Amino acid sequence: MSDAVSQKKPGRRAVKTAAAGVAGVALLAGLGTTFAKWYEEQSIGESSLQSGHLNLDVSGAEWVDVNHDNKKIDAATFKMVPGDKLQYTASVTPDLVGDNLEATLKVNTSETVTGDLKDVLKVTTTVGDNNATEKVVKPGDTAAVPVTVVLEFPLTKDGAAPAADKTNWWGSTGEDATVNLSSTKVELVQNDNP
Amino acid sequence: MAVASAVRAAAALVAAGLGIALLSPAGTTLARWHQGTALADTDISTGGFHLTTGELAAVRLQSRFSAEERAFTTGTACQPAPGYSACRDLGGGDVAGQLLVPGDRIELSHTFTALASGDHLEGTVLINGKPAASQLPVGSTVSATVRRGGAPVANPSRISGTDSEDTKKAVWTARVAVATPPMWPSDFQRSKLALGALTISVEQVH
Repeated sequence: MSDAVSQKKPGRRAVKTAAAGVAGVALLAGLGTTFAKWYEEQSIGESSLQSGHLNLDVSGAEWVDVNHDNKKIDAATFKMVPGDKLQYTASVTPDLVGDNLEATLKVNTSETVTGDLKDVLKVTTTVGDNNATEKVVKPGDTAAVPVTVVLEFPLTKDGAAPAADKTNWWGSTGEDATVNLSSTKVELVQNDNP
Repeated sequence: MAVASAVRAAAALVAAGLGIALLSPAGTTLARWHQGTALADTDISTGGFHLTTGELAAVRLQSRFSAEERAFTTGTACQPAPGYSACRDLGGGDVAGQLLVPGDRIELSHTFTALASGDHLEGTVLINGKPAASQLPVGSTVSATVRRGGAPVANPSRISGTDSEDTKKAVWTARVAVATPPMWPSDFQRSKLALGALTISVEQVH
């Protein structure tokens, strides 16, 4: 009886040894590497790199009726008719941070007038001084830039006085249409990095 | 190893897909920064004139001949105006079937609405009978009276984008009287008179 037990011990040890070996191999294989090599690392800088930013702040925005003593109007309720001229003014302060950052400030009017109004309403913009339509700004340019948008519904098709025979009148063209102010944006767009 | 290669290939494809997605239709990169602010939360609208013709409310025929001297094809008898011997109220559809004779006077009553929409829009409403008169025998006259919401107004009459809402909603009535002379040239016999040439127009005042 005791011989039988003592005869089984070497077999169990062998099984345990084999299992341990297999587990070790599996661990190494699963991690795909060995723990047997040395390594060491050092940070390449004492501080982290930070990205910059590009922002703009619009203040003092208002719409006025140019042909009526620049009276302030509510764009939401005003209805334009031939002969009207409205002007938007605002001060835009750019805020740029970035070593190689440069951007262009402009007014995007590509979607301002569509449909019937596209050939009727005149849209002009100025950014900054000298009637420019855009201005390049850089980090440190923190002065407010005046921006204007003028919407003009000419009195007649040719800009002349209304003809007696009504040939240069608008007829019904441009009636009950919409000027897409919500799609017209003062934009600051990053220039290509030189 | 084969599985790892497949994973790398898939990752490369995804990266390429993202790269393409970042390109705009114009082929330029969208990778630059930009910031924008709309000029307004709402849009500006344009105004306009709104002229809507209503119905031919009534047609009255005044005749210098009595009912016995001429044949009325239809209509209801009414009180003749001074200087006339017979009167018939006609429905709008009966006008075309009624034969006119020299001296007849047709009175048309037509409703319409006219309003201006626009902060600085002013206009005039005009009932114009001249085109009709030009097709009638010489000596014919066309006159018009206009009421707005029941109150008499001038012809032409002004409307404004700043009129009150009640005023804008008011129904207009144009009463047009077309009086023909007692004698017609013979070439007007069996001819059609285009009374439809009476026009209502609205035009901007500059």
